[in-house]
Order: sequence, then structure tokens, then C-alpha cells
Amino acid sequence: MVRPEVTPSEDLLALRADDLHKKFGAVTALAGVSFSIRTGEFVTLLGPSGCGKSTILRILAGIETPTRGAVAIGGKVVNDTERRILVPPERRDLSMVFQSYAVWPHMSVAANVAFPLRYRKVPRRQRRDRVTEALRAVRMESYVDRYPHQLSGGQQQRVAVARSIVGHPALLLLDEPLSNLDARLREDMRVELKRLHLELGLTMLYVTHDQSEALAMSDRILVMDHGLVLQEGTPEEVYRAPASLTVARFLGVKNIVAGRVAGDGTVEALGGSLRATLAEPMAPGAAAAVAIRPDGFALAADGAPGPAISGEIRLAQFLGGAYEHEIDTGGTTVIAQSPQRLGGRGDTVALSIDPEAVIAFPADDPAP
Amino acid sequence: MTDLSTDTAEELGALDAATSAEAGSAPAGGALWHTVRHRFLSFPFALRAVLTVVVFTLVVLPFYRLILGSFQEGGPPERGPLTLQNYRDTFNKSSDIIGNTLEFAIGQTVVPLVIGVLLAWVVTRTDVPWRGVWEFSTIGLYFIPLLAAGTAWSILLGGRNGMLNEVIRTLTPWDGFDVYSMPGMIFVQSLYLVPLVFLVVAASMRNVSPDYEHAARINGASPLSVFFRVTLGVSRPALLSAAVLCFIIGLGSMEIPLLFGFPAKEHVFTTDIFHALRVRMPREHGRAAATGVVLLAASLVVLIMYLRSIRHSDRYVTVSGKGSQETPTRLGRWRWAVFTACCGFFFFTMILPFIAVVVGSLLPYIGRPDAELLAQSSLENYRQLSDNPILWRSLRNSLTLSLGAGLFVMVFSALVAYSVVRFKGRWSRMIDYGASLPLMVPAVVMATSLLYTYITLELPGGFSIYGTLWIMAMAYVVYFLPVGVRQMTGPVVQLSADLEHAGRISGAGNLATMARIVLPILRPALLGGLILAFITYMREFTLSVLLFRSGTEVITTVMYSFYNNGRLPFVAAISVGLWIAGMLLMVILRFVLKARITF
Ligand SMILES: Nc1ncnc2c1ncn2[C@@H]1O[C@H](COP(=O)(O)OP(=O)(O)O)[C@@H](O)[C@H]1O
Ligand SMILES: [Mg+2]
Repeated sequence: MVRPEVTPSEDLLALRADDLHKKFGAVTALAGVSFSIRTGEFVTLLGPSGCGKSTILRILAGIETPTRGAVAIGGKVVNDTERRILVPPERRDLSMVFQSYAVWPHMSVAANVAFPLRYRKVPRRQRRDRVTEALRAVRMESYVDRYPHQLSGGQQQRVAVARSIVGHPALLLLDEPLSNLDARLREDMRVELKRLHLELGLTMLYVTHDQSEALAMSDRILVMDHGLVLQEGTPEEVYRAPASLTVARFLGVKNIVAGRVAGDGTVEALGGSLRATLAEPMAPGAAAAVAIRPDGFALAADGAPGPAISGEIRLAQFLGGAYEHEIDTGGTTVIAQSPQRLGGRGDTVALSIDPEAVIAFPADDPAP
Repeated sequence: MTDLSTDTAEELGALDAATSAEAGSAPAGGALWHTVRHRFLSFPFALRAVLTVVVFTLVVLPFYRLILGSFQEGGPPERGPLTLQNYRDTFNKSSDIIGNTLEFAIGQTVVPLVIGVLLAWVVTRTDVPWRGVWEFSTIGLYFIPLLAAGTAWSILLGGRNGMLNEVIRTLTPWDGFDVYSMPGMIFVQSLYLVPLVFLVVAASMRNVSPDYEHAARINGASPLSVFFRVTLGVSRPALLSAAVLCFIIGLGSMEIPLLFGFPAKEHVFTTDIFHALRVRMPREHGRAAATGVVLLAASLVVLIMYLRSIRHSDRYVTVSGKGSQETPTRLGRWRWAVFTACCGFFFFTMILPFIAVVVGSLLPYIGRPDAELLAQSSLENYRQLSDNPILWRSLRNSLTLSLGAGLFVMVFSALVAYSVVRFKGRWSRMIDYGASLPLMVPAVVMATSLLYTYITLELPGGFSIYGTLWIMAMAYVVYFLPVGVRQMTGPVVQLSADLEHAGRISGAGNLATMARIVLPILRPALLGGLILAFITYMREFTLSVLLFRSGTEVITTVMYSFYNNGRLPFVAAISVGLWIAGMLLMVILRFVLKARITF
């Protein structure tokens, strides 16, 4: 297979990964992944644990070698199995934040952060300023002389981030950086990372298995499973128009019900006839798996558009920002979220469903 | 992207498949050059190649020379025609030597095993008072040079003139106990092997969940049968490996056989090799080599028996006992009896011998400790010793060797552990086996084989390492290497690979990552290992006495020559110094570095 040369017009690409394959013995971790990242972009790899996200990052960083494929960073090919090019990690212009932080225990905070500067030919005089600047960016400037064992997990994480941005890398890789933090801290750090991205104009490739993180932070999301990219798009695109049932499931669509295509953009499901988006052309009468986002439900009485179904409320919970209901629609239970209470336990209600929130997939769509 | 040096921490095969020739535009010779660069100049390859060469030079080659030489006429270093004569000589001359060797080796295995196991049990599983003190003082025995302890017992119980024997004869109808005898040899050697058994067995007993013992008690077993059936049963693999360790030390160590066995005319193989190589004229190299091979074979037999008996040791994997410190066996009315026994052991191994060397060092000669003799005590021995240039030279040699070889062996061990843990694969395992081999080799055989390999080697410029400190340093390194690798493996396993990856991504190359990240993080473990190596080398005698020449004496060989010349008070004075230094090091290791001593 001949790959196109990297052309000058691609100079704006911070990263280009081409047809990456990786096998660990008999295990296929990556089965051909290609994508690119524009300078300044925030791209997220989203997928369940074990789908190959870390493997991609490690290949990009040069810690792992692909079985096949090519990588270019900032227009420069750093890895190409066919042309036998392999640049070691220390000479790729990128940095990485590890899930385990990987803050060196024998160095102070200042020494940790200054370390990359030594190899980026930054004059000694400027190093201190750069360290201070990086630590200020993560609000850790008062901890310069501490040692890692004197810091909390969240603080170590900030040091790791400071170390990764201090050298102004062309590309910043983050491997589930928030997964070891507790819920409160995770929220804060998420906002901080996004702020750094915007303020410093960094190009970031972010890995997570948490769809809310991905949706909140990314310019673009790549949804992965089993070593393949299933869908690529903006958070809105992948959320509103999942390309497959797997993607829909992974983005948190809890209602997947059996139905049948009725033609004319409607499906029979939940004991009623629903207007729906067909993920691909399907003949009338074909069996369908219908994904309904929980936020698509509203009381028919409120004049919401679309045909109505009826169901009995089993459980209503107040979540703070919205109410979540468990509704029994003639044997099938669905989850409905809405800003108002739809009714109390035991109430039978008529619900309309936003056609935008209903997507029908062929029923034989392989379930994960 | 001109320099393509690659080196992720994975199997070379995978790397090679990805990168086996120069980038597209390379000239015809590029593919070969690329292979050379990637396969042979890659870090995992280069590191393991260096380790392999060193292990080969220090371990494999010497044993090959020894075994080959034992079948050659005249023995090594000459390369005569093949013959079995050396073995005939060995077995003809030495029917009682074989018996003595076995008696000594077995005796000094059984006795420390019994004492060490009891002490380990008392310290880890019972409520006897001062458990920490007994642990500390037992381990402390390792820090006393065996030569110093032997000196102390020589002063106390050495023949009719032994001070304690004089006292016993005066006060009782008995004659006392002559330590210059086979039971005496076994007794003294055993006391100072106890810490080894203790360390191995206590570590295993700590891992026995107290639930096993409680379960047995609840089912009606008495405390004694719990000890025998449960605690000992579960620790069986540790007991066996301690026994193997002791047995091999017994086959190979020189101190006590030379100090006590000689006057008692109880010869063993080690002393026989010593005489063949360093006393008798002409030297009997062939017989020494054959004797070494016989000892090697004996330890191999024991090793195989050991490996067969721990084949099913998976069965012994036990639930780690979190609460083993909190729920010890209650000794009840035995508590104070056991306490007294511990005090007794402490007194007989530490206090009494130390008093003996102190007193001995102040006297002009060793004899009945009556008022007349004690009145002559003075610091004269110390004064004379401080004027002795050979003593100072030997001290300098000892310190240089112990520090130099210690530093080298610990860094080298760390690198071996690193390549075993990081690169995995068969090659790394072979390096590990090679580095562990010396554990199964009696010290006397180690020294003999190095001697034969390097006695004739001439480096460019006519420089020979035979008779220099270098050959002794090589022997020291081999001697501690297996322990060093064991010391470093745990810390390396705990070292997350991400720490190294972060270094690489930050811009540091392989060597810089090693030097700035891996080794500094391992520094506490390296330092702990260095102290253990240092103390092991300072007390070392067997290797040194076979390899030293005038100018490369070490402190223990000087002690031996004083001993040999009947200057026991001088030896006692040196022993006092080593004793105090050893205790200081022990305290530093335990309380300043807070290191846990393990084998
Ligand atoms: N060094 C390795 N050896 C063998 N299998 C591996 C190795 N690293 C990853 N894998 C396998 O590759 C797959 C992808 O792993 P990874 O990239 O770590 O997943 P993720 O980061 O998405 O959780 C998993 O099935 C994992 O078991
Ligand atoms: Mg991962």
C-alpha cells in the first residue's frame, strides 16, 4: 500500500496518524486507525477500557512501535513502518500526561518541571522563569520546593501537567488524566485543562472512557471500540447522530428498544408510532433497534410535537438540574429526563417524543 | 529523522519487524547498516550485551577453566593432556577428609537451622518480651566477622589455655570444652550462621496468616503441635532454602576450619585446597582443581534435591498475614523461660565473645585470667599495631575493595534486575541465571576458578591482574552478585515504566534516563545493598586468603597471619575494632537508613 507523501499543504496538521495497526501476540489492539489533528485543536479518543486508546498514545509518543502504519507530527514523519522510519520519543516534539502522573519521586516540583527544558536547549537563565510560568498556569507556583510525596494526588497531577506544557510542545497527549481523581477534583481539573488549552493555544489529544468529559471538552471526538474508530465528529454530531448502536450506547443512550420500520420516517415501538431518523435506509417492515435519548420525552399535554405514547411512571427522581423517570410502556421500561416533573409514582401519562431524539438502526446491528 | 536509534522496552523482535532497513531513499548497503543500528546498537541489546560479557567473564569462563583444568595433567594453569589422575589423587589422599567435610557441613546446617527457626518463631509469632531486641541482635551477628568471633572463642575455649577452660578447670572437676575439635568447629560456625537462617525463615513466617494457627488451635491442637505442624509446615520452602544456603557455605568457607580444624587436625576440603594452593611446595594445582570440582558437584546434588523438593511449592503460597504482629501465640508461663533463653543466646553470641576479645586485646598473652595476668593488661597491643604498616595497608585495601566492589556490584545488580524486569525474554533470564549461579558455588571453588582463569592472563602492556586488587575485586563481585540481584529486583519491579517514559518524552535519551531517573530513584535500595555488600566484604576471608599476595593483604588475611604466628592478642585487638565498626554500620543501616535487611 502506497501512502501519500506529506505535502506542504498539510503543514497545519499537528498530527497525522495513518492506518495504525498493533498486535500483541494474538491480541489485536489496533486494527487500522487513521486520523489527523489540526494545530490548536482539542481532540478526544473516547472508548471503553481495553479498546486501544492508550496504545495509540504510546505509538504516537514513540514508547510503542506499531505493527504497521505511519505517524507524522507537525508535518515531519516520525514513524513509518514501510519506509522504516522510527524516531525515538526524545526527538518527537510532544509531551504526555500519564494516568499514573509519573511525577519523579526523587526530584522537587521545580526539578520535575525544569527537566524537559534541559533537553529543549532552553538557556539556564530562562529556565526558572519558564518553570514559574508553567507552575502558575496550573496554580502550583507556591509548591516549587516540595517533593512529590508531600503532595496530594490532585497536586501531583498538576505538576505532571506543568511538566508537560513547560516545553511548549507541538502536541500534548493526555491519557485519562482525571481518572484517578475524586469526583469534585475531576470537575475542577476538567475546566482547568480546557482553560489551558484555550489560553496557551495547545494542541491536545485527550483519552478518556468518560463520555461526559469527552462531550464537555472536545472540539472533535473519535469514538473507538475494539481497535477501530467507529465515528468521528463534533460532540454535537456524535451525540445527536450516533452512527451505530454501539456509539449510541457508549454516549449514554440508555433506551434501546425493539421496533419495526413503518415507512415514511416512522417506526413502531413502545406501543405507538414514533417519528424517527433512520441511521441507514431500511425497508418498511424491517426489524429495528430504536435508540431514544432520555432527554427527548415531554408531556403530550404540553403541546409538544410528535405522536404520543402512554406509560405508567414507576419511579421519579430529582437529580438537581432535571428529573429522571422510569416509565413502563406496556412491558418495556424507558428512562425519561426532563426539566419538569412528568408526574408521580403510579401516574399514567401520555408522552410525546422528539423525533430528533429517536434513531432507528437495523436490528442485527452487532451489540457490544 | 536521520538518527533512528530505537529502544522501546519491548522485545527486539517486534522492533526489528517494524524497522529493519534504512529509510526509503537509503543506498544499497542501507539495509545492513539499518539492521546493525537498530538491532545491535539499540539500548536493550547493548545493555544486555554488556551484562552478558561481564557475567561470562566473571562466572561462566572461570568455571569452565576449573572443570577443564581438573582433567588436565598438572592441572591449571598448564594445559597438559587429559587425565583422571587429579581425581585419583583427591580421593586417595582424603578418605577422612570427605567424612570430615560432610560432618562439618551437615553439623553447621542442622544446628543453626534449629536455633534460627526457634528464634524466628519467637520473634515473629509469640508474645515474648523485647522481640525487636532479639531480632536486631540476631541480625547483628552477621555484622561480626566470623574471624573475629572465631578469635573470641579461641580466647575463651581454645585448648587448655582458653580462659574459660582455665576457669572451669579451677572451679569444677571438669576439663572444659576444647573448641579446637569438630564439635567446637560446628558450635562456633553455627552460632554465626543463625542470622542467615533467621532472615530467610522469619521473612517467610511473617507471611503466614495467623488464621492458620488459630484454625489449628480451635480444632484442638496444642501450641506445640501448631508450631510443628502448621507454622513449620507452611515455612518448609524457606527452611529448605536456608538449609541449602548453610550447607553450601559449610562446603566452601575457610575461617573456622583453618582456625580450629588445624590445631585439631580435623581437615576438610577447604583447608586441603588452601594447603595445595598456598602452603605446600610444589603447588598441587591439579588436585586443588579436582577437589573444587568435587565440592561443586556436591553443591549441585544438594541444589537438585532442593529443587525437587520445592517443586510443588505453589501449595505453600499463603494468605499474607496482616495481623501477624498483633495476634502472636501466647506463651503463658513459658514466656519468661523463652525470654531467658533469648537473653542467654544474646549473651553467648554477643556479650561474652566481645568481652573476650576486649580482654584478650589488653593482655600480653592468653592464659589463666588470674590477678597476675590481668595486672599486666595495657594498651601495648594497640600501640604496636598502630605502628604496623602492613596493618594500615591492609585496612586501606579492605576499604578500597569493599567500597569499589560494593559500588560496582550494586549498580551492576540493578542493571541485571532492570533488564530482567523490563526486557523479559529468554536472554534476560539467561543473564539472571548466570548472575545467580554463584549462590550455589562454595566460596573456595569461586576463588580457585578465578585464580586459574586469570593467573596466566596478560593484558596489553604486560599487565597481569593476578596478584593485584583487581582479581580480588572480581571475586568479591561474583560472591555478592546473586544477593545484589535479589536486593534490587523488588525495587525495580516497583518502579513504574511510566516514570522512564516520561523522561524519554521530556527529551532524555536512554542513558540519560538511566542516569537521571532510574538509578536515582533506586538510590535508597542501592545504598542499603551497598552497606550489606560492604559488611560482607569486610568480613570476607575465604576468597581473600586464596587470592592475596604481599601488597594486597586485606584486614582478615592480616588477622590470620597474626593468628598463625601465635599473636592472638593482636588478632583480638583488630577484632575489637571490626566488632565496633560492624555494630555501628548495623545501627546506621537500621536506624538512619531504616533499611530492612533481607537476603
Ligand atoms: N504490553 C501489552 N501486551 C499485551 N497486550 C497489551 C499490551 N498493552 C495493551 N495490550 C492489550 O491491548 C488492548 C488495548 O489496550 P489499551 O490500549 O491499554 O486500552 P485502553 O487504553 O483503551 O484501555 C487491550 O486488550 C490490552 O489488553
Ligand atoms: Mg488506557
